[in-house]
Amino acid sequence: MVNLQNLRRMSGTKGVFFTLDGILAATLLIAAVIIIPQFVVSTTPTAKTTFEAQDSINVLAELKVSEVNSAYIQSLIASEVISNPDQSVLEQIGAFWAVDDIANAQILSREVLGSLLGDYELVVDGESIYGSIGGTQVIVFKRMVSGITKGREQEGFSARAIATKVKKNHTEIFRIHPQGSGNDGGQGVKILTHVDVPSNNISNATLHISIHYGNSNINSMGFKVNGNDLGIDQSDWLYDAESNVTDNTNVAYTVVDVTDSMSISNPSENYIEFELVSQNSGHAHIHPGSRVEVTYESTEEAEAETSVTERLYFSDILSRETGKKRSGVWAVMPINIPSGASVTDATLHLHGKDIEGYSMQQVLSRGKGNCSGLNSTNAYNIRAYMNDNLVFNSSSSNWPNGEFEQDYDLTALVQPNTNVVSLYMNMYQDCFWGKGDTQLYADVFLDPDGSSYVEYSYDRPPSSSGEFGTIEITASERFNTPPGNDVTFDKTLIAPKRAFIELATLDSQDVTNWANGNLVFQTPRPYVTPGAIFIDNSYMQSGTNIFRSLDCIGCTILPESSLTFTTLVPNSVPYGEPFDLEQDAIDDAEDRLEDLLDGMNIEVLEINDETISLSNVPSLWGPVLVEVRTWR
Amino acid sequence: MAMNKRGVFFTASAILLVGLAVIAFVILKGEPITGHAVQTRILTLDNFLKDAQSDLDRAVRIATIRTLVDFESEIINSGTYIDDVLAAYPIAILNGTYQNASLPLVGNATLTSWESRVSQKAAEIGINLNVTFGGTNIRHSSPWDVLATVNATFIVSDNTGLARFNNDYTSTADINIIGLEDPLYIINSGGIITNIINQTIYEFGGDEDNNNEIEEEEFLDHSKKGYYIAHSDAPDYLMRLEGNLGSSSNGIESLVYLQKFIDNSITIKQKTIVDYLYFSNQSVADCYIDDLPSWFRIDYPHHDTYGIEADEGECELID
Repeated sequence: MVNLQNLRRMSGTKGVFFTLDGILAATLLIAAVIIIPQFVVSTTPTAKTTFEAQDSINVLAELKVSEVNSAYIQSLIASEVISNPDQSVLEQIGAFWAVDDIANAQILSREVLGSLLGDYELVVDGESIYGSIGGTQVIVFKRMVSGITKGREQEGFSARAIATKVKKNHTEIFRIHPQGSGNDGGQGVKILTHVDVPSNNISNATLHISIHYGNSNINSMGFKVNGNDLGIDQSDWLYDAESNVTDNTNVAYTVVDVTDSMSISNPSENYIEFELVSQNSGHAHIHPGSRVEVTYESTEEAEAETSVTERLYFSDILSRETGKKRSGVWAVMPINIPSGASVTDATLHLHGKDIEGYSMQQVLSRGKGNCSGLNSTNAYNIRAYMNDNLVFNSSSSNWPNGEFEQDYDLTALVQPNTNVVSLYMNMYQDCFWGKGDTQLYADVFLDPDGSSYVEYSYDRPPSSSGEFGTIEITASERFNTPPGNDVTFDKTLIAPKRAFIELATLDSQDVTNWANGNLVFQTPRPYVTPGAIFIDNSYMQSGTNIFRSLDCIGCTILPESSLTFTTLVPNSVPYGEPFDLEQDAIDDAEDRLEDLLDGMNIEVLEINDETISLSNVPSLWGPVLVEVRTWR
Repeated sequence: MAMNKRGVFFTASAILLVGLAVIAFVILKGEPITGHAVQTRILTLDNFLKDAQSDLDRAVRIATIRTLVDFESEIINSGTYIDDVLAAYPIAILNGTYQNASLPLVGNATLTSWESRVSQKAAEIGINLNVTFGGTNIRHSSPWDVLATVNATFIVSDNTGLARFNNDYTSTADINIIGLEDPLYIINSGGIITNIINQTIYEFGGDEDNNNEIEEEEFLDHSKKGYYIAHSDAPDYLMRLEGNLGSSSNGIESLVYLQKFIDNSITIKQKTIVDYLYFSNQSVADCYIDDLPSWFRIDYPHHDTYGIEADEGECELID
């Protein structure tokens, strides 16, 4: 300190000393101002609390659950309440919060933070799960936690289902193709058709009968199923009218419930018998539309075969002579080949009995009715065609006891789509010449190889990608279109594989069919129209399909016509969204599979499925923010 | 009087200096508190970056698992293998699509949607986050594990512009393939039959003399349960997704349980039932194993693997 006496002596320099005093004092004050806050401010309650909160949340984020020194937490690990002890305490608190185990979340946080913080509040995704605000100035620190959301497990189960077999009510059509006797055919004709139902669980069977007959009483016709007379009389016919096409003949059509007549004990041995008796004119025969529709419980399986062989038996047809009325038989049988298939074999096995050994001249001399076009060079008493191609003809007289049995190779004549084999014995056109009986022989059970049949084999391409993972479902639907000779039927199909048009007709001569504008069939020879027209999938599409059928003027296509279609239904559903419980995932997969099949309008009775459940499927939940709040 | 006037001046000077000191105090008083806030903010950003990167690891794992399951669903639906898994993988995990069609499982768990969610959380605490994804890869780290790798660049900044981090990060995730379906079975059974990948519980080859410690029943059970062994001649899981029947150091193989094919009306072939050979067009000499079903045939090159010996055309397990 400057001496006052010296100052007085140095009165001229007094101001300097006062200034120095001021500077020194100010320097001390400034130093104090700068230094003191360094000690005082760093220990203010706010900063301390901030650091504690920050440290605490970092501890929660960095410390593994397994590292928590707590007997209770270790017991939770041992009992697998905590399934992942390697995750951080913060993540485990979040996991407890996600499954609403707030108690354990609280305990875990207390075990870790209890010694670090006095009062604090723990908040997960905005939800306070521990503590409450106890002061006015809140300090908040947040960390992000992944993979959790309220009410859901971090990992779940996902499942898919495969329909290995689908049990459903299946309607199968057993077609009875046009066939019959010779003109003015004697006592009439007896047609015995075999129906092999591959199930004894038949829920419904309906016989459609379409006949062309002479002028005799329709009540004289007989119709039996497994020997039981159906007792059809005139009033039972839906249609019975004079033919528009052939003079002095009639056409009739009806539908009969034959469920109770079908054999349950031997479903593969059902027989339908038509007895079309003596006529005053014309010749009794079956028209397109005759069929048996059988609904039975079936199991549909995926089709895996690429080589197909089919043998189709003719009906046993027996025509009888009476007096001047002669006998003769004729029949047609289709061979249906998918596009792209390679036909390896097609055989006609023909077995006739009581075939006359007449020369052509004798044939002509016995002719009656319309024999135009026949002369001494073409009046064969046996002939067969494939479509419009002659397979063979003969007027030989060398058949022992009038029995004729031959195989004919049709392979080279078979074309894609609908082919028609037509054969004639002791008759042709509306001219007849049979003597005594004439029989096209077939006894499917006792003599299958000796019966008359066509057998064909083809290889089709291996399953294309469109067929992968699918199962075939077949269903049938009536046209219900107004009667006429030109009808159009629309049907929406999903992944159609093949279809058949079963035309129910009164008069029918020359049928032409189109699918989506494409010609798919034309009767190759007069009256040679099979009971069903095959539609290959190459003519169809997923979506609306338009099927048009045209017959002769005066011919009638009835509303009882039907479309039988086979579609490819996906046999599985893919993995769905994860569920917390495995059973929920499996139930979801099965529900989706049933919904899929229901969506195909398939009446499913039962699905045999295999479910594949995938565990530990994680979900991209969150992230959520976890907060530690402290206060001053 | 003159001297008194000078005193006033000195006093005024002192007051001025003290005033300056007070002003300096006020200014300097704010300095340590602002510095603390910056420190706290930087720590918050740093923690968020760590959390986001850790979350990316999880997202990569989730997206990869779901992508693999979606690839299997695609094979089941289409009947065709995945065309180039390595090329399809990044598109799937980032966009959730395969060949421009949405993949149902990974669709809402893509890395793109992850970035959107995390950015939203970042915004809630005043952080701007931008993640740019770079190269991705998927390969086997073992016969039973697939390693997914995703490179990402994180740009994290405070929304007041106080701080900004720019960080490159490589996220990895190991995915175990146990429990996934083997695409070879799906394709080769027309979608009817599948086989779940599971490591065998049996040991083949047995002791040092190559004697088997298993019996025929257990050998059949290995096939029936669809168990797999690691085998370097066989394709690995990722190759199987592509229908690639070549060999891999991480290859796995099963023995096709043909009875299941027979039960499902699927025509079987008379050849070795080692899966990748059975499902191939390759012809390898094989033999029927004594006391096992007639379809149970193993090719000669696999005899050492399974502890089989051939004696005059007949094969049997080595006891």
